[in-house]
Amino acid sequence: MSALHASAVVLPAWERGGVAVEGPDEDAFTLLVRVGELLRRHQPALPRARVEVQSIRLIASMPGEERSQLLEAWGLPAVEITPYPETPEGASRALSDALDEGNGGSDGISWVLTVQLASPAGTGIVDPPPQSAIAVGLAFARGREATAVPSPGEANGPTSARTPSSWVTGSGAKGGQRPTPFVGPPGYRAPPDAPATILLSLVEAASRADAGALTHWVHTTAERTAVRTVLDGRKVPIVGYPVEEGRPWLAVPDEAWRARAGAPISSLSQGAYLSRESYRASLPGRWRLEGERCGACGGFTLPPSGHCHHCGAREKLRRDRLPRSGAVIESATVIRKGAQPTEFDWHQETYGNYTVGLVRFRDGPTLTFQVTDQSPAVPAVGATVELVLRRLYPQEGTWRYGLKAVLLGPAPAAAAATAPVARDG
Amino acid sequence: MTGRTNRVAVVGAGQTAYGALPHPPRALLRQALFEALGSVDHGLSAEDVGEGYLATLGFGGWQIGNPASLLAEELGRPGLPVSHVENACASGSTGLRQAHHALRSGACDVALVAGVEKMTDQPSARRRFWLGVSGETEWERLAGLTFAGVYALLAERYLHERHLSPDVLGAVAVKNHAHGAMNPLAHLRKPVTLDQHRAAPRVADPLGLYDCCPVSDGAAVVVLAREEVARRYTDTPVWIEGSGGGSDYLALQDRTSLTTLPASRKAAEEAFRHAPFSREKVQLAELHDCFTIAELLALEDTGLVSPGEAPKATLEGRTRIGGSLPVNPSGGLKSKGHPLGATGVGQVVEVFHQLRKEAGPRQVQGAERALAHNVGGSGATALVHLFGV
Repeated sequence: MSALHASAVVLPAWERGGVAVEGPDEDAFTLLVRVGELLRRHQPALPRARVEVQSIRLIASMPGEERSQLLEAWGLPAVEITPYPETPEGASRALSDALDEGNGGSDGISWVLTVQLASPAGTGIVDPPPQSAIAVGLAFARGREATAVPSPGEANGPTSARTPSSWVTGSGAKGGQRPTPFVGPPGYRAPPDAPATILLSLVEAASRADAGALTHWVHTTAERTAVRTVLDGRKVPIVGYPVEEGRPWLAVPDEAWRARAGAPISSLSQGAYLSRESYRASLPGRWRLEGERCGACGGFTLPPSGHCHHCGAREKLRRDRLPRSGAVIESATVIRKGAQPTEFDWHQETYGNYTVGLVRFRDGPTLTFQVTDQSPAVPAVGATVELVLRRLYPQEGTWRYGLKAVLLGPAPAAAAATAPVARDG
Repeated sequence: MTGRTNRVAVVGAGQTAYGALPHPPRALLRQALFEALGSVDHGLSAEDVGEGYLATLGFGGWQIGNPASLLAEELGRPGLPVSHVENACASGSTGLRQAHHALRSGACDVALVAGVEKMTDQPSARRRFWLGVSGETEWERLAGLTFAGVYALLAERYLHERHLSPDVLGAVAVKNHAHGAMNPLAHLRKPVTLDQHRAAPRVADPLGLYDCCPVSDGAAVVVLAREEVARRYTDTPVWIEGSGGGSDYLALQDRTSLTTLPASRKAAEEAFRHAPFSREKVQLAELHDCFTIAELLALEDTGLVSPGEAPKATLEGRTRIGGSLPVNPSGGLKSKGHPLGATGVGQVVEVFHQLRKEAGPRQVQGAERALAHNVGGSGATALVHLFGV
């Protein structure tokens, strides 16, 4: 029997109350990545993932690369990802397939992920992100394989005073533990008749039921109403979710992609250029902070290159990952109009100024990131940040992505004491 | 004395005005070349030249490959061995160092070092393509930084660590504009006030418009000769008394400190190692002030002032013409202008005229020993040269 092992709900920053956003930089791809990252904290075993990929097809990757991009972002080896169309039926079918597999299938570990964008993408690659978005992920495991689940607060996103960016619940089956009640995202206002909303309702259902006694089947009826059939055979309508047959959720036909790919991209760099191949090669470092730790001098080299950039050692190098939170601002600046490289013209023209900071990790290395989810302002030296995957800039028909820093808290007292005192002098 | 044998002299120097000029790159190069050749007191035949170096980034892409052959063409010496040298904004001084090495090796007796850049003819988007090309691409540029942003990060940290107000940056701008106003070849020949500096539009906090050098067209050429032949060309040679070079991690994020450029320190240490005079004897300096913060860094990194003394030295007026250590009497990159490849060569043009007492109203009285400091990008490369008469 399949049990809902963990669920994750992620909202983009602009959906959360009280968060000023200097340039919306989240989209279907970054939200799906975030959901997977959260699920993985609860379920480190390799999942079989069922992902609605259509909405990321034309923004994050060349056609056909969606799955490899997600695996790259999650740092997973080549596990199976089954794509489903982004329709209510698609999400339902993905869920049903996952449950069927768990009930009779092989390893019984499976993810179902979907993302819902309230406004369809426009016609150009540089269109702003949608006004409303949500991503939902469910992790299933066979009952006996479900492991202890951390308390919900533990794995949540940034521990700031702001509305959290994500909700993670675990509903493990061990010891008859009651699942954690699900608390919906307060800022969420997307229309209900969408695949993510159906999954959301399942999360809610899971929070009310005993672990494992979950929904068995979701389908649409002749009346175009979503129905879930629970394990005792009862059919429960999913209220308020009329299904419009064949309604394309963000389905952008491939012809549009081709037309776009042939069009001149004004931000194509003629002065400094990171080719698609070099970009792809940089992703382990750029997205997951993977590098090499030197056993001789302790230095960290990113990207890994087979020799230590600090002492030149070629032995005793071990693969390591920098932590995604806890690094601090070393220095920062706000880039005003005219000071941006052309790759960021689109951002500058659409949203205005942006912030860039040097971020120092606790064990030494410093990396350069934009600071996001805030109004453009120079953050205090010493402020703590978390790193999240976001849009960087459009080039050659798709978006390039990288980590950006989100401020977690003010500079610690020691750093605050050294804040400039003579600025007026 | 090791350093005083086998010396190399600057026997001629010339440059175009810096600024937004109507001339294409080759015309700029030609004009600077004729100025330099014309400045050789006893004349110089094109046939005397044994080696040529052309420093340019090729900004805008006007001739990225093989531009050095144009130097031979403009000299009227097709066939001359030539090289293109490129170390971003330090290309000019890198050419000087290459020529210095070649002359000291005895490979030739006379060498030309030319620098040229044409920057103002680019549409603004293309200009921004090019303004960041010498920074680190994968992380710095693609996090949204050009050099204004990179130097802003240095400035923010500098002000933070030393509890300073941005007015200290303003003091550098005010001084260099005052100097540049006296230089007929400078790009921005107007004084600015501290109030104007404070009120200027922000570019990348804490840097405003008056913290940034302009984008300039220009060319500069110097004629170098071995000691054995120098007096054939002039009775008042300016000697190169030291040459030093250094490099560092390309990206700021890989450096260990944001308040010093180690490449500059290394270059200065090498230059002074065999020089016949010490840092205390330097009477004027042309320092690389692409942004105001850079002059403060350079003052300390070259050792011309003690660590931590640069803001005080600047605020006290020691670095003005008339002070104890005039810095950037030409106006510096800030006011004279910064045509990338030409800049390092143009610094030598200023030193040449200053040490020969030909600098007119901005003459540093009694100057006999000078230092020129040129930085590539944010300090990935740096060179220091010492001069004396």
